[in-house]
Amino acid sequence: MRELTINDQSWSIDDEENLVGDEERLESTDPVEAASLSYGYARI
Amino acid sequence: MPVPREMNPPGNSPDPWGGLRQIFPEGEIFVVTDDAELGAHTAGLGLATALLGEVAELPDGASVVLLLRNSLVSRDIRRMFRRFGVLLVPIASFDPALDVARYTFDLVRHTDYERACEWNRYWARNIAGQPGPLVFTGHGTGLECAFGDDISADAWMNTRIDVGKWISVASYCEFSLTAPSTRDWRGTFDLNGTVVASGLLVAQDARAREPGAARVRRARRLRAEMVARGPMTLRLREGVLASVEAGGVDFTDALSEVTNPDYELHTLELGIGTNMSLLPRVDWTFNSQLNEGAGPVHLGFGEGITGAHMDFIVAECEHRFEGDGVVQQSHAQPV
Repeated sequence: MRELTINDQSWSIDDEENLVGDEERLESTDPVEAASLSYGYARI
Repeated sequence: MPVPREMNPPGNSPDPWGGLRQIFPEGEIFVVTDDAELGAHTAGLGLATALLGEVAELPDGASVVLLLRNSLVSRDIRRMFRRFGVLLVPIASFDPALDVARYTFDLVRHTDYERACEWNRYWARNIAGQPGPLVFTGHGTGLECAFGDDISADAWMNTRIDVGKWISVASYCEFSLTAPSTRDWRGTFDLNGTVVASGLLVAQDARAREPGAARVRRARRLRAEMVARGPMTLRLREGVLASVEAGGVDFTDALSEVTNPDYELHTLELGIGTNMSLLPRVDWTFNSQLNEGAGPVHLGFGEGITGAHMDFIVAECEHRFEGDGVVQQSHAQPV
């Protein structure tokens, strides 16, 4: 068995305008790590 | 495992919403779009339609199919939809032409979302549990995919979208594995072999700025030439694209340039299609996101930010896990 984590790529903005959902990856300065290939994400 | 079937699968449904009723089985569904022409088209199909500027008038908890033809996703757009359940179709990230937008929405309605989720669960179960490499074979393709021990994938596993969720249609239609970072290209998967692709897509992330956006523009022209000369043959060694040719022309250097030459043609994405029942409806000349999940596997290069993201889509092949001995047809039900 290998460890497999599933990301649903859903995200939102809370009342304080913070990103909610997979923040560490999506906000990475490494563009490959930050890739969101479903094209549903935009930089906060 | 048997796949649950609808009494009226999307291709035969008399309901103009088609497969979208699987996602939003209760209550009214609204198409919301940023484009009046596309809105007139969806309204003409008998679907409740609103323009982006009318979103405030929708009831709390509404089910929304959001078609972005003119806009890339933005913080402002996401904020407008916090009180809804949203299926997002980011058309502008691929090709905003009206015929492509109409085609894309037609495939969105004809997608069997229950079956796509069944495939996503199949892949999660088997990639986690099968020790041997995954092999795609047939119709000229022979590709071996070995996986790391601790990996992640992008996918949506449950058919319904609840209030507050923002799910892009690709999360249903593909089980997407990506390289971890520029420091670790092969930590998730390692690829060796040959792929014959019928389709090719170009996509741009909303975060792209120059010179990445300029590379995307050049990639769109390159795509048109390659698809016209297709099918395309890709050879991969240790996760790197060694060559790609179509119609006897070598496009390797051109592909490297538009996807960001710093990446040296490392494969960024191993995308496994979960929407193969769409295949008879696919037109490979369209740069439509819905095409990628209709083939059993696609390989992506570039991330769409510093250069184009380009997906090469295999139209037909089979797969097996080495050592398992079971060959799975790409169009068959997951077992």
